[in-house]
Amino acid sequence: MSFLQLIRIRAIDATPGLLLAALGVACLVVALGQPFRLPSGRPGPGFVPALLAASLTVLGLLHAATARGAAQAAPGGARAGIMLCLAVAGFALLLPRVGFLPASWAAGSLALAAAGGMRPLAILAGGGALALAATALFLGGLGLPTPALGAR
Amino acid sequence: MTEALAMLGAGLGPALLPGNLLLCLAGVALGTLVGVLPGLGPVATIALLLPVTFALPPAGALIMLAGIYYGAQYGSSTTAILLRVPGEASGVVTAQEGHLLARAGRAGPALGIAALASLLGGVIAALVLALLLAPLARFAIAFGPAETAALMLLGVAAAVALSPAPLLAAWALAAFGALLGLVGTDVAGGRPRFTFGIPELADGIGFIPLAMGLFGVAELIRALESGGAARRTLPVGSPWPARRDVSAAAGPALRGSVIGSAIGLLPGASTLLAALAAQAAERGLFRRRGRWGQGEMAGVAAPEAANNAAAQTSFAPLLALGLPANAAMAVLAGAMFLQGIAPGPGVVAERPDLVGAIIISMLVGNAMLVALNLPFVGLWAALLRLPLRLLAALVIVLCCGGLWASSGSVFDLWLLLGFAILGWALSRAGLDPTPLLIGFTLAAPFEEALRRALVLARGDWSVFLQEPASATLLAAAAATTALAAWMRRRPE
Repeated sequence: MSFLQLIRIRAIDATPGLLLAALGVACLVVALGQPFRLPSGRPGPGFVPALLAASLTVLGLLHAATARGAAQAAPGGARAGIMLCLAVAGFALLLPRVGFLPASWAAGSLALAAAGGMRPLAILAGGGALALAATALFLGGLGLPTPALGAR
Repeated sequence: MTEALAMLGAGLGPALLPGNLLLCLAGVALGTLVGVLPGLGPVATIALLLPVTFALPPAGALIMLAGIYYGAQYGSSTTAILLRVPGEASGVVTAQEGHLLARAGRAGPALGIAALASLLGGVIAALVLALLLAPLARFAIAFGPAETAALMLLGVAAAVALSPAPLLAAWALAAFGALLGLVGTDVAGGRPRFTFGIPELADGIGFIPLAMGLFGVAELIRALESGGAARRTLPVGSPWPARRDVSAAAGPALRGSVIGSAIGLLPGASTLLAALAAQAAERGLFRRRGRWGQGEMAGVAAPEAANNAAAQTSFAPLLALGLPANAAMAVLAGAMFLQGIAPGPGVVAERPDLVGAIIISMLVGNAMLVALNLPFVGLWAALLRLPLRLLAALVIVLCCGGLWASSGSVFDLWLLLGFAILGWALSRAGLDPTPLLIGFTLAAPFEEALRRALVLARGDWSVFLQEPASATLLAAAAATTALAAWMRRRPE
């Protein structure tokens, strides 16, 4: 294994720890904006968050320095993750603008496309069937006060 | 004993209400389904069903969610035996001997023994739970704030120790989860913390989007990434075991029930650990006879009894101490909070009807599981041919619709997306999100206990070492972490 490859693997291994440490620093900055102690001497609202954020920073850095094997743990394709996240995002984006039925249709179709291997028409038809079933369940069955079609 | 009988007596009526019996049946059937299908575990299912519980009374909601958890242990054995793929983590132990039996044409009796051993484990664990809850709660109710804070730290240490993630990362995730749990208005002073001017965050981060995203959506992503194609199963045949199978399995099932019941009581314990311990005990016994590894009923009976027993006794730390022992219990704790019930010693003392109903429902639910699993085992096996992509799409649509129905907040849908991405990222980094969830669940009570302990001690940190119970709990937390560090350094 070349030196450059070794550096690359170590960088991948250290990334989760460094991200956690960065989150810790960000939380620490916000927590320090809160009173650490109240005028009465009691622990303030920033007390426990500051302790936790400092711990997170230190633990993240220690993990970054010692982690091994994350580079091997990362699986290959990201299609499933991207499509399922897009399905949730699509639902959140469309629901207040065009209603429950189209939002469910988009979410169902995007989720069906996550695994790959289905024709676009079958995906749209399957998504439509799921959307109709979900609309019948939530709006018809449970009486959810949301329009099936149209903005809220 | 009298307390246990009184608790069971108080719970009998609510548990046997027709509505609650139906919810119990729905829970165990759903649990079996998700246990059978590799890809969606009980934690994800319970998390995804949290919005449904809003519309249910507390007893019914908890009976159904508990049924999903122990029902999944039954269902997992089907996939483990027929495919050598565990539907739920603990099934990996059953798969070893169980699949050998299936390959030898004895899948039916192996599945039958798995169901009967699970029944035995479930019944013994329910009785253990009934006997221990009241004394445990009495012990915990005497705790002051220092002991409570130390107990919570022990709970996190145990969850961290048993997490498959590296120790430092698991502790870091627990701290991050606790920080997320502190988002919102500070209960002591009324000041907003970590809200960044977003009004929706004033009440804190919702438990449902967090649990659904980290466990529900992220678990589906993991399942699809690892390939969710339908598989060919081995023929099942009649599930009724012969008399020699029953006599070969009786002892291991009994020992597994005892081991599983004991392990489930420990904070941080998992059904996988219980199944492994029961298998190790049986292997020790079998090694002397040299028959292990050729398809032994003991290798099915012991882990199946143990995992079901542990699933049920793991309710003890939650109900008596307010300490979620694992991710499933953390989600159940969230369900209790959503119902306005704080898990802990108070609930055992003040709501014996609720606790008793949960325990009685376990006895009823286990009987239902045998009735569902033995005659219909072929039907459950046929479900393995269901493509995962259809299940994933169905779950996503129900998950988004369910979250919208429960909160009516688009912001919660974006939170769901954020936590799904976080769960996916953690999965790709090889990190388990359980410590994060436990940290999130315990953050608020831990902060309250820590601050009260320091106020009472006038800011003197040594109070945690001066109180004997607190010092013992902190020593146990340190020992748990040290042991976990040592175990991780040992070669495979």
